[in-house]
Amino acid sequence: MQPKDQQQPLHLWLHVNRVLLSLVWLLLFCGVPASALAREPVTIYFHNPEASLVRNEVLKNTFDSYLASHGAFHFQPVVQRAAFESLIKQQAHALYVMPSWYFEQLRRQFPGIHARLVGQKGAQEVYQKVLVASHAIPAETQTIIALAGTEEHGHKILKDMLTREQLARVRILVVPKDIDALMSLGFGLADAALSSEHSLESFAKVNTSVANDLKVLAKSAPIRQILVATPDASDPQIERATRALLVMPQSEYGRRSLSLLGLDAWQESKQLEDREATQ
Amino acid sequence: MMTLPLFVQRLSCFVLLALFAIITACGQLPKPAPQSGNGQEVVLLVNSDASINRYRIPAESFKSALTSHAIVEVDLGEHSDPIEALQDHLNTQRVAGIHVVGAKALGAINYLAPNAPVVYSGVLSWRQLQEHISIPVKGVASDVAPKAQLIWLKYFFPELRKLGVLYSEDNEYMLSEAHAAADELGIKLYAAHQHQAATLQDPVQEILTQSEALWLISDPAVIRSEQAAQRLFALAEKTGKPIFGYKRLFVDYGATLTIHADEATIGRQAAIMLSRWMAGSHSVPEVQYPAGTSISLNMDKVKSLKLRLNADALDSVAEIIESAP
Repeated sequence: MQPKDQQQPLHLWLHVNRVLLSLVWLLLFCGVPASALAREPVTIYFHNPEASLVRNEVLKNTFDSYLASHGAFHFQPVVQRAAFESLIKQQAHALYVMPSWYFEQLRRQFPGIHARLVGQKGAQEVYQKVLVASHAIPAETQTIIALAGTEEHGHKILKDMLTREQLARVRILVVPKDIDALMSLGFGLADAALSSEHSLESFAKVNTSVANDLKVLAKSAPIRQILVATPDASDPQIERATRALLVMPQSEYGRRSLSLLGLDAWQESKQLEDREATQ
Repeated sequence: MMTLPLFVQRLSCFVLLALFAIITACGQLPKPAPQSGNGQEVVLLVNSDASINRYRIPAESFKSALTSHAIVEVDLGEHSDPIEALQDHLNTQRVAGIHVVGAKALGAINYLAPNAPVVYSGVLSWRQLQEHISIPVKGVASDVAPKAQLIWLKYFFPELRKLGVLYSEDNEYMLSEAHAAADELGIKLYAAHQHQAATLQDPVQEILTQSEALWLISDPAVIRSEQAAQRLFALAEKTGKPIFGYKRLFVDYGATLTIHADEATIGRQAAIMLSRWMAGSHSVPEVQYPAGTSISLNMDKVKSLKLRLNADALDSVAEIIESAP
């Protein structure tokens, strides 16, 4: 048995512990953790299977330079699709930037996720992919099609542009950028190229002689630009991060970050949905 | 006394032995039929040194892109006797095609002269290959096509009209191609011949006064040493003219923009070339320029030299170099 003078501090410590625990519970019921959470940094995760991975570092550096002056916000590219999806599942307190077609797939898996912003280029929220070549795609011989992104996604787009026989003989050459795909075609390294309409226009402006020989063989259905989504739309800190993205065209670093994504601005997703509803 | 049949028997034995000795000495002894573990054909991937990124990256993308055959990889960096290591593989596997990465791997395969299509990549002196290689090979060049480089320069800097370039005898053919491409893009090319013996300073100063920027092409006679590179960049700095280079390294010296080949794309191109060649296609070219590029942009230089940059072009950069704001 312990002497009485040694038992006293132990009892006192237990008592203080109980009081502290009660205080924590009281704070929890008063909603203090919500405001504490609001001060937590917000990470803007980015995953785009269509983009070259080597650009992730430049995206992170440029976005972080812009975001630093707008709050505790960080930009984080995610290489693996599974890792990105696991983050969505586990981290509601974040924003997620991804291609719209990928968002549509994820929405089935994560019904709570909402689109907040949609990218704009030339005041348009949609773009089209074009299949370009100097001749028609033959059904009998192998055709090399250069494209940026993944082989899997390229095949999905090409499925709506080519016949089954043509598609069976397609060999995809993945290149880092749309303009690389167009140049591959111009230099005879590929038989056709899949690029955005905007990239084709930019390429044609610089290299008219090559562009004049190219024909648009097929166009994809309009594809919505890259978008920003979140599983937690009610969080005030998420709201602040969303606002910081919306005002990007007002600063040099913001404009530069948007350019890296091939965008000019963001449009609120709700406004877009309202506009589409009235049309 | 020896009987006639015994004499004939001994003579034929002697002739056979002599024939065997001659064939062996000439190295023409037919090799045993190549066998793999399960008898299937394989593709041999011979890497000069897989610990070097420039070789490792194209080799990795080659492996991902070529799915028609099992790939047997040989890293010559790990072998003290690379020729022997390769010979073992060639003797024991049924090799349908070979991809060699780097000059050392190409040299080793050239020595063994296997009876299979050979596609190379990562060989810097690809233009001089015919002088050193005796077997039929096809491959992917290491540097971006001059015309493609000029298109990128015009895309990033649409106001570019006068461009200076230094070259030696080795690049005369390439220069004529570049002149035609520059004309198409509305760029006047001021080309100065760099004689092997001349100091760098003489032609550079003249070129820098005539042009708005200096375009570096891969030419060992132009930049012979680190000191020569430093002198060149110092001269450009003094005259306030940007330098555009073909290697990422030049950004560290002060280049405004560098355009170099994307190594992963080179591996994918090599896979397509080898697949087509193995399938018997007659339209596989001898050499292909790289289809993908990697672009580094020095934003500090763009600002200090007050260059007008096409903002749309930023979606094509792999790296932006800029001091902290």
